[in-house]
Amino acid sequence: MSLSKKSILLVCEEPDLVQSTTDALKPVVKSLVHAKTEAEAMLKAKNQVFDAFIVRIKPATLDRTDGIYGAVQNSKEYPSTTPWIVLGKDIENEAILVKNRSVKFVNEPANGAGLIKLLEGVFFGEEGGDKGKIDVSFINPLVGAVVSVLQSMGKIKLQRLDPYLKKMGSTAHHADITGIIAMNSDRFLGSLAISYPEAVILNIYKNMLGSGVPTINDDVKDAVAELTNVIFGNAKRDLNELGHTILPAIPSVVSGKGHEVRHNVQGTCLVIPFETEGGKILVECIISPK
Amino acid sequence: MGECQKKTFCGRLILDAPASTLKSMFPAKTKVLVVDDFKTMRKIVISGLSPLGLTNVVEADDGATAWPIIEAAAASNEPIGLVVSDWNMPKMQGIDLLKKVRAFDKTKNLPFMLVTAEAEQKNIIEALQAGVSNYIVKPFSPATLTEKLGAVWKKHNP
Repeated sequence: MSLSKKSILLVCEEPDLVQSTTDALKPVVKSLVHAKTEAEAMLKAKNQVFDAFIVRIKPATLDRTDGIYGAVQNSKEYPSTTPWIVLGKDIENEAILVKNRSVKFVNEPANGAGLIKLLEGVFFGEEGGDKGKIDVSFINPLVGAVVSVLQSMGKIKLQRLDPYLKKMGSTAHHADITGIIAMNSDRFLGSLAISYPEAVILNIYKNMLGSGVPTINDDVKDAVAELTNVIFGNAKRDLNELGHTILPAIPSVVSGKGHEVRHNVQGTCLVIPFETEGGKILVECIISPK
Repeated sequence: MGECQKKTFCGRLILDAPASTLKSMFPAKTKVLVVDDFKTMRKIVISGLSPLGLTNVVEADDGATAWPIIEAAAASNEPIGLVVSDWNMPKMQGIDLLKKVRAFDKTKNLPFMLVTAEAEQKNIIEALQAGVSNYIVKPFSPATLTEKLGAVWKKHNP
């Protein structure tokens, strides 16, 4: 697996970032061409076909039809699987629904070795990449669904916090109820769990039904199952539009203070916490390639 | 026309048209069957039907339990006048319940709305081909439910 036959276009106007990226990649790729602006990049992408693009751009503007990404996506010279690496500040905090599995996001500063590994991964598949990494383009539809459903059905405000990897054997010690659902496709086995503190879920329940209950009871458990069902359904729809084939599943609910969240799938477990008025909601996701 | 009534979501509704106008859509005492394996969702749908005057509601927790209710009601003097059904249910899915309803002579024109959390294109096509009156995607607002039911009513009462 070698990048030595690959031509890369780097679109970036920050000198330090250009320098560090060039230092890292120029020795290992066939050619690394630099464009300062998107307009310059569009010209260069017309004159030469590149194997991949590394862009320093705000993810929210990536999908613009008049930008480099839009131009390449609409170009007959480039397949839709052309890899893109998007460099940005705190980029994983931005839930961008880019409908292209070949788009990867990297937080700045971009580590040279990490960039090389990422490029190897996008060109040569999981063997060349980092199996432990969870694809942000997969996670974003999940996060989007959680936020959309809990805001609209639960009428709560959520603030996404920095994600982290769950240590083996740790428990959701602050969560009192969890909805959990399998997330399988022809390519991977997965699991999604959403855990709530009691105060938060009772508030959500009250907002959903118009009247509250004092503690977690069977009706609240039913509500958690339905929320999990709707979140999963929304995420499934968006993920399947990206080319996945997520299968239908039925949620289950675990409750009790300090209960352990157990997934039926082994693998790296990414935890995405959300701050809410009553406490933190934790979203756990495992994706394990078959 | 009455004044606009403003209420909050779920259990209470935000209405942007006088309730009296919306209530006149369906005849009084229209019997509604709400089908969903989650009690919470049935409650949410029922609370959305109430301001429209649709308070004669029967519940079922699966397509498999809904069908005998529909069949029995069709043979009685109080048939079901509207079905609002979830799609994904353990024993009989909403789409299969719809197909049964459309295949039975006494219920082939029964207004039938599907509620889904997914709305993938292939599902929508399947539902339309099976003769669904309308569908609504979760999560939905009370206003959207009202709008969709209005469309169902117009479709079956041109």
